[in-house]
This record gives sequence, structure tokens and C-alpha cells, in this order.
Amino acid sequence: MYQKIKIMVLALLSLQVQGQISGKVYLVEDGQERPAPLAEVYWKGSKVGTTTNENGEYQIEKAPGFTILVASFAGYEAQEKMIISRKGITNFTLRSANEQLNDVTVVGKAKATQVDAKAAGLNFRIDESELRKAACCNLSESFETNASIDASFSDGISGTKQIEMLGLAGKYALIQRENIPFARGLNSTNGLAYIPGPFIESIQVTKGLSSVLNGYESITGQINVEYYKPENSPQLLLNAFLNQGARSELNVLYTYPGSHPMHTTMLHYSAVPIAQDRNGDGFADLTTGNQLNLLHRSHYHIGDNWEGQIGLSLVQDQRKGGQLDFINSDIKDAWGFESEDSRYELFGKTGYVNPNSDFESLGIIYSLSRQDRSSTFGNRKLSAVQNNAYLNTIYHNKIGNESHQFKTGLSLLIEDYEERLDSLNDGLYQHHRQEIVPGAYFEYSYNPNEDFSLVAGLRGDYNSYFKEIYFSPRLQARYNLGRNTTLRLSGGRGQRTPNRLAENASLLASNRKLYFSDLNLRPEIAWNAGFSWNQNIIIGDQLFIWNTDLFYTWFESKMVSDLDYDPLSAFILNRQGSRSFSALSQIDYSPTSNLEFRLAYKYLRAEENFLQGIDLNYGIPEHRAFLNASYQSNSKWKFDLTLNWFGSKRLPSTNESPEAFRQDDFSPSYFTVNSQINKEWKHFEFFIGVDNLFNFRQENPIVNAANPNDAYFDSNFIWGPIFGRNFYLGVYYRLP
Amino acid sequence: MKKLSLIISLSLFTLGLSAQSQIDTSLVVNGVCGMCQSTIEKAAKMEGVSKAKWDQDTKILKLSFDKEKVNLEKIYKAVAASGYDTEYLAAPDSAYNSLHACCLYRDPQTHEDHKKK
Repeated sequence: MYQKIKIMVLALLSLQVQGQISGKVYLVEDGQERPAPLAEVYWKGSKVGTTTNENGEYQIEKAPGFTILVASFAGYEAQEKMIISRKGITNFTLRSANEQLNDVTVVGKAKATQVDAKAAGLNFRIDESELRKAACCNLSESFETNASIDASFSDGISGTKQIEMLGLAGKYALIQRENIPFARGLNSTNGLAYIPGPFIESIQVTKGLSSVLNGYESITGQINVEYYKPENSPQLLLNAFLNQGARSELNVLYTYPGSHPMHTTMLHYSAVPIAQDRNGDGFADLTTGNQLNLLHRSHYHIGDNWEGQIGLSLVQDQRKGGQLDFINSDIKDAWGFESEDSRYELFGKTGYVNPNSDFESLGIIYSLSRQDRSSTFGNRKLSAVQNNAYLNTIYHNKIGNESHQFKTGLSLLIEDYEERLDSLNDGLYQHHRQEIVPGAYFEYSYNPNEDFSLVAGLRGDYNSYFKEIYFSPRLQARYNLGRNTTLRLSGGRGQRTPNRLAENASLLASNRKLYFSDLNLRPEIAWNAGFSWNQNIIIGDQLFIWNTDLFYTWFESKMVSDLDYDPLSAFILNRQGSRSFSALSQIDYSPTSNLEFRLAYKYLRAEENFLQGIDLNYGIPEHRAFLNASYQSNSKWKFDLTLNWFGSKRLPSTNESPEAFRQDDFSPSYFTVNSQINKEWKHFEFFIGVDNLFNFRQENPIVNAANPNDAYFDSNFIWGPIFGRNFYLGVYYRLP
Repeated sequence: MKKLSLIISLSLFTLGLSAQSQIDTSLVVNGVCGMCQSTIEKAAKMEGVSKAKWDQDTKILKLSFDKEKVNLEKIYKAVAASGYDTEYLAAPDSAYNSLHACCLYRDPQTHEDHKKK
């Protein structure tokens, strides 16, 4: 008896003395988090309250009998939390009151990848914990645990990775870095490799047509990458990585403490110093080379209502591939691939929030960039230069009450682009163009209640090169059918200007002659429509989240590369009528808070209007399945296992090739298994993993690899992994 | 009379206990659903804990444990680490945020939603 009372009294005493709830209050706008100074924190219904200090930190005693803790800040939605504890740390994240239907929406961190329940479009966010599941290396690998987007090599030599979304190449998605178009134009082929994974704070993906606000270029969707920003980044982040393919990486992120304006510098250096040839065809399985990637930015405030950021980014990338004789000893007749790419960018954003209105705001986004590439494929030399200036403005306000809101603005894109191909056999191809594209848009959003939202937008852009005004209408709508069912519809038009040579550079990794059949360059124009259905299924106390989406894309005009017509040539021309249908069905289930499963099946029918009529596009599997399981122990061990199954893919026709060089029309189906183990300590995190555990390989990725200077040498029959099993390990150090 | 019976029952109760050095006590733990229940109970059932039973309506976790092997502080720390706020200690945000969407008990709306069901 005495013992028991003593224990309890002691326990109660010691706890009551130290009991306090503390934490930080953050404000989120346009995906950016910053601490909220002088935010109010109080127990709802009581008189017990406090305000945060200049760093957004608060401390409050538990008020007996009150359990709802509220954090509020003018212009933001107050957040309520039910807290029964006397002691502990909890942070608040307040969303801007006018951000309910944002284009890039921050959602609760309940799941690492989660469909945004309130947005009109099918948006999902991939956050840090999901990104960690695939620890290597850049944006193209960030989608490994995501069934909507697949990454694969575009040829067997140059190491260029291409993503696929809705059955179409990554260039038909608008890939942005913090709302500034990034992987577009010349950068659409390599851009993904220029976004180092460790700097990514989160990724927001919109499937299907997205808002008109970010331009006319998105067709299959929008991928927006948010880096760590000065206001929410760790003070120091170090990451080192090494894999069996000899890829070594060092990433450093540093935020200058206590400086105003705030500065952050990010540095990435990676190198693959040695070439390996596991399949013995004389060609390197992976490219060698190195990349230097530097980004510095500052975040500043002007007065109380203006804030902004400005940054500089620099990327230098060198790659070497092809025959080992070329890489290791520069033997004269050896077939080699060499590429040098550099990109410089000045970018920034400025925003104004009207202090007298919760809704009125103005944003200005700008960027100036230059990219310079020169590559050699055997005896053919490609050089391309892109100079780009981009300006976008966004004015946001409401009409009458807050259920009617609009965004409008003007944009300007100036692009000067030149590409040329020098070749001993083919003569010269050269293209230069200057595009000046002033545009205007208006987007209306209607949000009468929780269960319905609609976003309708229209933009008009005049293109000085094509001398035409193009209109892009777009619509997104969401309807909640009861508490557990959400239906969405989207549709509209998108457009882009193709770069005929740079986007077909992979074809140069062969001895095919290139024919650019159209006299004039034409824009690519597509219409996309989609429907999605999200269903929560509750069986007993278990929740299954079932998402299904269907999308159809039809091209009024698309750049087609025809490799079927003649095995020794490639025809590149614009044609109408290419189309793609995609259906994805996915179930997410977590039986306990530590364990998560995701099972997905994807059907893709991507058809291209080739010279000889409509046929399946190359390298896109019609059937695709995916299984991911992850487990997190209470002591911060994480285990992750992914199984990918790819159905058979169509390959370019070789019916007219000599028997020896003939390939199957369809690849076999195959699966790969990736696995990773993470362990986290206070500041350290260690991971070790393996890609392609069962060492599945495409044995002969290059046709006629023995005689690369002869006809029929071709690396465009790639359908599976080249390198095989690849172990890796790495470490993070974070100082918050 | 009432008081007397209470004293008698209490002393009987503790007599029974002291023999096995076992403690019966309870802890308030916030949560909303059956999935919460299983997580909370699993976290609390560490070595030396013979009973951990949480009730969804009262939010009370009934505990029996061997005071030689474990103490209350260890138990509520483990429960908090699994993502659930106890009366003494709140769960770290990182653990709370990794709970299933339907278990996000700090959102008053979640409690409303579960009542409707």
C-alpha cells in the first residue's frame, strides 16, 4: 500500500513540476513554411493563452479541464489540436486562409504520399519520408515507390533517364522547381538528373491537366519539386552515397545561422570514375563522368507585406560512355559517347500580401537561364544552346465572398534556341528559333462547401515564332459522394514546342540516319481528359484506401519518331492522332501504424500514329504492377521492399533487317525487386539497399555491338535493366 | 458505512497485490478507434506488463504491471513514442504524424467523425 502510494505521489509530483506544452507555430503559403512570430496559442474556452516569440516558439501550461489547444494568426486558418497531456512538444502549421484550393497544396502529413482531399485536381504530395525509401540519387529515382510515374533509360548508351506518366514521355509533364518551369526545352532530357534527391523537401504531383497559372506546357500533369528553403531547412545537411556501379556522391546543404536575409547554399558533386561492362559486349553498362551542381539563395523581407527570394544555380555535367576502349584508352576507331552540359540560372520570387484583406495577394516569379550542350555520338556531333527568360505574375483575390476566388496574371516567355548536328555522313542539320510568347490567364475557383470544388481556367498566348494566338482552356472539378468517396474530373488543352534534334538525341546512339521530314517546326498540341475515384473502404477497424484513375490524351499534333519504316533510318515528323489511354488502380493499406502496403496495377495503351499507321509506342508496357511494403520499428529502423512487374513492351520493327540483327517485336515481361534498410539516430541516418535484387538483366541491349561503325548498330532496343543488381549505401547527417 | 467498505476493499485489494509486487493503475490516453486501441495496447505491453486494456469511449488504459520489472513512466513513454498522447506526456509530432489518417485524434473533427459512425 505504502509502496504504491509513494510511487504514484512521486510520479505526480515530478510531472506536475515540469509539465508544459511547447512547440513552434509555422505559417505555410505557396508550399513554403516559415515560423510565425506573435501567433496566439490558447486553450479553447479558457483564459489561458500565450503568444509565440520571434522564432515562432511557444510554451504553455496545461489548463486543467481544457483539452483543445488553438493556434491562430491573422490571415491564416486557426488550427485546433486536442491535447490531453501535461507535457510535450507539438508544432502547429497554419495554412493561409486563401489557400484552400491551391494549385500546389500542402496536405496533412498523415501518409508519406497522400492524395490531397480538398483539391479540385488529382494532386498528391510525396514527402521526405517517402523520398527516403529510395535513397538514390536524383528526381528520376524519386518516383520509385510511386506507381503513377515510371523512369527508364531512353537508350542503351547515354545514361539518359526518361520518366513516363499516363503512357507519355516526361517532356509532356510540366516539371517545375518551386513553380518555375525547370525540365523543359533543352533541359527536358537531362533536367531530372539535375535535381539532387537530398535537397528535395517534397514533391507535388498533379495527374492530368493542371492549373493554367503555370503555363500552357503541361499535358499529362505537373510535377513540382520543393527544395529545402532557408526558413525551413536543416542548418546543416551532409549526405554521402556510394554504389556498386561506382557512383559516388556528396551533398552538402548549409543555412547561414541568424543572418537577415536568410541564406542557404546547396552543393552536389557526384562522380562515376570507372566504367564497368558486366554483359561483356564491349560497351560500358553505365556512363562515367561527373556532375557539379550548386545553388545559393536568399530569402528577404521588405517591410511587413513584401517578401521574396532570389537565387543562383549552376550545373555542370560531363559524361562519357560507349566502348570501353574509348573510355579507358581513347583508341581511335572505338565508338564513344561524350557529353558536356552546363546550365546557369538566376531565379526569384516576390510576393505581396494585402494586410487588410485575407485574400488579396500578388506574386511575381522570374527566371533567366542559359544552357549549353555539346555531345558526340560516334562521329556525329550535336550542339545546342538555349537562352530563356521567364516571367509570371499571379494576382489572387475573391469575388464577393470567399467561395468565389480568382487568380489572374500576365506571363512572358522569351526563348532563343539553336541546335545543330554535324556529321560526316549526314551533312548538316541546323535549326534556330526565337520565340517571344506573351500570355494572359484567368482562373476562377468555386468552392461553395466542403463537398464540391471547381476550378475553371483559360489562357491565351501569342507565339511570335508560329505567329499565332493559342488558347488553352482547362477545367477541374471534385465532388464528395458521402464521406468516403471522392470523384474528380479534369480536362483541357496543353501545348509545347518540340526540339526535334535534342529530344531525339538517343537515336544518335545508333547508326540510323536521321530524317527531319517536316519543312517547318510545328508545335505539339494535345487534349487530355481524366476521371478519378477515391474510395475509403472500412472493414471493421481497418481502412483501405482505393484510388482509381483513368486518363485519355489525344494529340492534335505530336512529334513522332518512326523507327519501324526502315531499320537504318529514323523519321522525325509531326503527325496528328497519336493517343494514350491510362488506367491505374491502387490500394493502400496499413494494418498498424508501423506497417504499410501499397498494391497497384496500371494499364497503358500508348499509341503513336506512325508512317504505316497507328501502332503501340516503343518501350511502354501495356500492363504494369507494383507492390510496396514498408515497416518502421519504434526504434527508428525502416525496412522497405518494392516489387515492380513490367509487362511486355513493343520494340522497333526489325522485319527488314538481316537475320542476324533481327529482334523480337515485343520484349519479355520481367520483374525487379528493390529493398532498403534505414536506421535513424538523433542526427545521423544510415541506409543500405539494393536495386534489382535478383539481378535481372537485358542481356543484349545493343544490336550489333561488335561492329559499332557498321550498319544496324543500334542501342534503341532497350527495355530492361542493363547493369543488374546494384548494392548501395549512404549516410545522412542533419543538424536541425 | 460506505467509507468503511471502501477501506476494507482497498486493503484487501492491496494485500493481494503486495504478495506479487503487482500494481494496477490506469492512464488516460487519447485515441479514437480500434486501430488506435491495438497500437496503444501493443506499445504498453512491454516486459512486466500483464494487462493493458484501452477503452475507446473512456480513453482509459487499464494497466497491471510488476513494479520490480517496469514502472509507469516507462509505459507512458512507450505509449507516447508510438504516437499517442498520454495524460503525462504528449507524443512527438514525428510519431503522431506517421499514424494512419483515421487515427489523427488531435484533430477534434476526427472525434466527431468517429462518433457519427
